[in-house]
Amino acid sequence: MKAAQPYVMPALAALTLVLALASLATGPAGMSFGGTEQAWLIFSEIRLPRTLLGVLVGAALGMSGAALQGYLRNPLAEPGIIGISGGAALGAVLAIHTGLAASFAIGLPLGALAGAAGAMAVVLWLAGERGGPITLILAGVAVASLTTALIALVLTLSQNPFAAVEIVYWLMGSLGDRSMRHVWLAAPPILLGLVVLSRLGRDLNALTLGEEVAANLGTSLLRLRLLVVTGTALAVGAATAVSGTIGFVGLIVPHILRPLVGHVPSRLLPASALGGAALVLAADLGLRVISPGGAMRLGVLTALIGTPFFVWLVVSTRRELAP
Amino acid sequence: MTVVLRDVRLALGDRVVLDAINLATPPGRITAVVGPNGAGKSTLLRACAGLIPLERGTIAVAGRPLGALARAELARAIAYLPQERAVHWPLAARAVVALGRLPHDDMKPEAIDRALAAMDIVSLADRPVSELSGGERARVLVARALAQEAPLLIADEPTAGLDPAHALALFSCFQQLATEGRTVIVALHDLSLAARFAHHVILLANGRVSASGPPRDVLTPRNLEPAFGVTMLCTIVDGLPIVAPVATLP
Amino acid sequence: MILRCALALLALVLSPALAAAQQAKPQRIVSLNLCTDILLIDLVAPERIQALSVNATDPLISPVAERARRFKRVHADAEEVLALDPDLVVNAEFTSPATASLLQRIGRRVAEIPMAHDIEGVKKSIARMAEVTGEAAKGQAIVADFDVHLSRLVAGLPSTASRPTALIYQINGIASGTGLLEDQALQLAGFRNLAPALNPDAGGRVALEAIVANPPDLLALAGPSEEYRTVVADTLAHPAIAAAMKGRATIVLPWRDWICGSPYIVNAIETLAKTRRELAARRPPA
Repeated sequence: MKAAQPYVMPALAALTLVLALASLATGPAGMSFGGTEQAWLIFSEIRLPRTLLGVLVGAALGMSGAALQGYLRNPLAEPGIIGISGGAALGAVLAIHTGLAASFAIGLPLGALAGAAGAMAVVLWLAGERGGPITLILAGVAVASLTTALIALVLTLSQNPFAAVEIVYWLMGSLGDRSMRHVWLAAPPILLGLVVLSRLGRDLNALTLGEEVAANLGTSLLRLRLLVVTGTALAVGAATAVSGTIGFVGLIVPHILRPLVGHVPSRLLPASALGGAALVLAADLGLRVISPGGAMRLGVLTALIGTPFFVWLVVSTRRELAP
Repeated sequence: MTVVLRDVRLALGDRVVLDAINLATPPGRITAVVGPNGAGKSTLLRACAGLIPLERGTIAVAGRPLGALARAELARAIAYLPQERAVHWPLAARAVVALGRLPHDDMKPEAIDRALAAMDIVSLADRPVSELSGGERARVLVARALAQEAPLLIADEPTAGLDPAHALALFSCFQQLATEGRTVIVALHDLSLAARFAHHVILLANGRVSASGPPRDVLTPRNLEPAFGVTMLCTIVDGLPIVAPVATLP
Repeated sequence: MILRCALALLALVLSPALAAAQQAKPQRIVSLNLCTDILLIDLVAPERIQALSVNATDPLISPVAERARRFKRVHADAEEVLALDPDLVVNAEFTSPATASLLQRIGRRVAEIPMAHDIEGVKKSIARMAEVTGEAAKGQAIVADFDVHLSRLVAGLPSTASRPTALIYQINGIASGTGLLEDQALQLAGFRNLAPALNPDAGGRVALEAIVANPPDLLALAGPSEEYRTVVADTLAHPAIAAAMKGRATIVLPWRDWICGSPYIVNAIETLAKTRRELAARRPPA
């Protein structure tokens, strides 16, 4: 197997840029940038936030997927599957319906962050120190199911006639109709989370040989766990707070890119950020072409693509995953 | 680099695994730790590598207690090779060996190349470890520990799964390290290898030191038979020491 | 003398029939649905109402929220309804079908009231509700008042060859299309519904970009977004819409006035008509 291909990062960056430009040029109002005030309004207030969020959310999901897989040594780990996105959505829903989000400008992302961190703590506790890969996935599925049920419960108890619509909003995410306000809300924690996660490369590499060798090579396992939880909570929490649950990006992107970076975890982190951005932008573009009205949601599309991918992944790695 | 254990007691959960351990391993020498399954060999090695906290007692490396060393210093001072041969991602052999340079935060190619050559895996350098045989993978992992260039090398059953040629090559590599002034602590099941290559032997039984000293003093039927529960044949053939189990004791 | 005796005899003979007619009016009415709540509360005396639906007191969607507070509230759940022992259950057609058919199977009287999609439909709903509750006369009176009020509102509206455009924008990006009650309200008030021109999809959703590219003269938001208490109402406050509507008219058209085909549509028409006159005053005469 060759070492990391040198063209991977520049190629991903170029791909993301092209998709971003395409995203800015795509929409029901067409491509006419005739310099009218309305065209500028559409560009700056509708398409720009949507594109920026696509990049931010995609990068957050991609990189946290790579970090989780590296930390848990499990190719099936992904923020959606192991319940972190669900925890973030639950935190966001609680923040809104307890009035916290209305009182503080950052109440919403704060709630989502807390929810994401809490979910991750529960999963790690359930799976235990020496939990095998299957145990981890089971713990994640349990947390994901629980958070989904709690979201539905909170919304039903809120006596709101739109509870059903809001449940769909959180469980099947979307980038549609967002404004720059969402971008300003989500960008700082996502970028901070990406920075935190990108510092983990060395330790994730060491972890390739197991926890004991990693400790021998100078890794502080406690510090590593803390940074993984913090970085993931920041990135996934903020992303979910503004776009709802978008699953499987963190599963697909690292898996596809891993062979291209020589399977080295530290190289996979930045590559997955760009890859995630590209995937979300591409999926969102595809959505706008297939159903311009916006009825089809991004979360549905990623689930439609991601679930068969997940099944295939389970089947093809069955032997290695046997507990 | 001397490793001195004073009055060490170690428990895992409720079980006391090591007790009243007092020993010193000579620097620049190969020390073999032998004993039956469950005697506590792996735990002793882990403790010496600073990976498990002690219930009582101290472990000092080159005169300094393990607890006083910063994490980075510890990583540069001790290279630990566990029994588990886990490589979670199919990295190329060279990339695995290069992980040994992490404590030094450099990618010194000479160190990596030297390690590859010492373990006779230069031709395998670009192959993913998932495609290698068990013995080849074991050699890659040893090479990682060698690449760390640490004054103390602690290896737990490094010859398991190695064919005779490579087991011998591994020990002549250890001998080379000893000549360079490094200290090697090895846990072994192969008593003949221990008798042949170790300068110092520690016999562990039930978590306590049953005997320690040069091989000819420790690897005797009087010491080994009660510890292992089998009758032992200890002899010298063509100048080479042979220690072989004969029959289980009633 | 004989005449007086004959009259007395007549009264005696007829009185049981009269009494029976009096007792035929339901006295313990339960309403399963907000739309029937609204019609019911204006038609019958409060003592005859056993319970209204749970939505009756939600000020966001119920125009009779305050008045509904004094009544018990019930979910569209057969057991809950039976516990109240109603002699008449009123339900909106095509809603809660399982509950309605179950109650019928058990032998309770269930009246399905059709929902209105236009002004004529509103009058028909009132008439039907009046019929089943035994208040035909009162029903006719309400319809008559409704007609009078309506004609007063639309009288003297400026008639210009080109009607200004309007869009009623709801949560989830849905804009009210043609054939709906609120669409007719727009037309009566002198507007043209812009929704069909903005390429709505099958669910009635209209793209934000379409609104910005082709903004209506009047944007009617279905209720201020804070009242919605849900994050999916954020689109109502999207900065792009606010910017696109600069220099144009934006009003709030509370959902409670047109969510059900009730006479309260006149509130919406009143607001729209008032806005129509204001717009005409601003513009030069066409």
